[in-house]
Amino acid sequence: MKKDQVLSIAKDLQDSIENWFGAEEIPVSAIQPLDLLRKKAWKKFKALSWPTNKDEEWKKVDLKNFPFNKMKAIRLLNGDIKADLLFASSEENRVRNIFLGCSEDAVFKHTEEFTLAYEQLVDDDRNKFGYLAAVFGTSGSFIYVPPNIKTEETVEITLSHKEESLGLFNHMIWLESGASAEVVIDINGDTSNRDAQLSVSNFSIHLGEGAKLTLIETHNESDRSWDIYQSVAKLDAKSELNWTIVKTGSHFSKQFLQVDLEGQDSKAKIACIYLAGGKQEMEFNTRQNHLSQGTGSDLMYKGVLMGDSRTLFSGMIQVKPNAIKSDGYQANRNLILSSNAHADSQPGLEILANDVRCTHGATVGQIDMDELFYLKSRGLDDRGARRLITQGFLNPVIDQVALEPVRKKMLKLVDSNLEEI
Amino acid sequence: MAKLEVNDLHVAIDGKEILKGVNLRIREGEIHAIMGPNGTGKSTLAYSLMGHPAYQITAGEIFFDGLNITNSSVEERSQMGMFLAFQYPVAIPGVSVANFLRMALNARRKVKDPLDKGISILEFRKLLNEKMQLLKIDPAFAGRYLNEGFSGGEKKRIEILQMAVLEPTIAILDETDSGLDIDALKIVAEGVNTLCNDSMGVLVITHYQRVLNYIKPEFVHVMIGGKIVESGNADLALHLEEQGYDWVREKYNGNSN
Repeated sequence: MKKDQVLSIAKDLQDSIENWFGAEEIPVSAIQPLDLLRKKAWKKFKALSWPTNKDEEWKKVDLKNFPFNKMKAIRLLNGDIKADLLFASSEENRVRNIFLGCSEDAVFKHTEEFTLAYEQLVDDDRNKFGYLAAVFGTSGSFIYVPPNIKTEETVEITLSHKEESLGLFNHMIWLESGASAEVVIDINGDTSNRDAQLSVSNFSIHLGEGAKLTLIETHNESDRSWDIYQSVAKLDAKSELNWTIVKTGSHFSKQFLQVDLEGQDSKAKIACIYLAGGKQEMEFNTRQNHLSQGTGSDLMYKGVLMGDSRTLFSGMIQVKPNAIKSDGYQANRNLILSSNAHADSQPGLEILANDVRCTHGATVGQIDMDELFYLKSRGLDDRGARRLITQGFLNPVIDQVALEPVRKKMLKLVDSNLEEI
Repeated sequence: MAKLEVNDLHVAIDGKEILKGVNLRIREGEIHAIMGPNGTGKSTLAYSLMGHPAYQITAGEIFFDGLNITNSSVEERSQMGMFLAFQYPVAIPGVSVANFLRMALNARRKVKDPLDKGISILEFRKLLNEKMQLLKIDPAFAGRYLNEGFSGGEKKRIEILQMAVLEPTIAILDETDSGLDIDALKIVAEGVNTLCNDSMGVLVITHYQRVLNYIKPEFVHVMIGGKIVESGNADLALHLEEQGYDWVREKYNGNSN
């Protein structure tokens, strides 16, 4: 099939999507501000067109096989999305007015805070998929920490994507000024489901002045699912975000991650490791936006590719004219373990200010033969040595996670995804 | 029967012959030293004995415990009981010394007994602590990434630590003395001497006599031009220290002319 034909098929399909649902499907709650926000998101949604392979960010995505038709389910799932959310939270947290819960509860119990956070979610730069979830998604989680409160224990969220065909989620973390929290989000899929699934998840994170958030995400979605994530974090002055992501699973996944360093001296450290095998495709589009003076960002994406997998990293550090004395770092490192795997790496810088320090780098490499010989000379067989070198490649990211149980879980997840070696 | 037997070994790299017929027999409990100027094939011999794929054996054979291992893989040789302390130990980022050594130890146990479940973490920690104490290595090294950011001397000590944990029956020490100051050299030598008992044979490769003051060889060989041209006892090393290699060169070249 010629490329033009593919594009035209995609176009026809996309035109029909618009007819599958209309404004009348927008969920209605008893809360007027929220309903207005959904309508606002609907307007933004309508104003954007569906991606085609002509769009830079979707150039390499197999849109011909993209499960657009799963969106038909929106008519059915209005307000009735099946996703299991599990929260581990103590009575202590409840007493101190730290709210952790699924969005259905939060809408009623913490209307004001919820609406505030939802407003940011809708105002964030999102793509058509992101707005789709913002309009129709009624499931998700909401974590709210009041000013100057520190969560005593790690907040753990387990999210199982069990939906038959379509999942639309909105997750929000809102830390007021001086608040601090550790949040662990574990997203897993139903591996017994043999049907293709589509999920779109928005994450919206707000850190008030001086707030501190440690956020850890582990992903292990079903190998039949198509998962799109759009995360936007906004940081006020002197706040600190420490974000670690482990990405495994999904047939296709695309992660948009954006950090807006809005306040002076705000800092974000982002580390992501991804493991792709079989015919998996993973794409990562990251943005580090330095919008204020003295801001710092440090981003490291490390990937291991096996089988016939394909990955793309496309990153951008942007430093606005007033963001002097900013320090930005961006790196993407790929370890290719199979001759059929392909890693694409496109780091980028856009610096509009003077007196800044920005560095970036990208590598795509294979296992070093000297390292391999050295390990084998101590009796490790070829597979064991390759696995150990690969684990070593990823370990520096995992070792930085201070929470021991989470670290162990990460190691296990990594290990179980290195079976192909 | 010798533990390690090398017969007329010829080795080439990229088609260029480096070893031109080496013969060597090492029994358990024996310490041998191979000396010689730079570029005579000493390290090539070490790598070839260990089975490095870049070194092509064009003629000759290597026997270990009577088994022909000329074509065996490096990991098979290691699992049988051979050990090479590298002249330039390789850094393995992200892999801690302790984790690596436990895996290496378990790999050996698994070969001996496929049902072996591996050494317990507690038991291993005890073993590692004991060996680190013996070699006066700071216990903090157990958690550090293997050879990453280690000084030359630290790398060499960690090589000997690996030897102590893996307990080989033939150990080849390739220029282990280089990069060590006198105190570190004494500690390493003490370690080697403690470990070298009736069940381990050692081949020390060096171009300085200095290390042989601390690790006393019973047999000293001189290698020149890819061949062992002179063999003797410890006195030979002292003689080389005083006289240099010129007399051997002359003698060898004289013979071969």
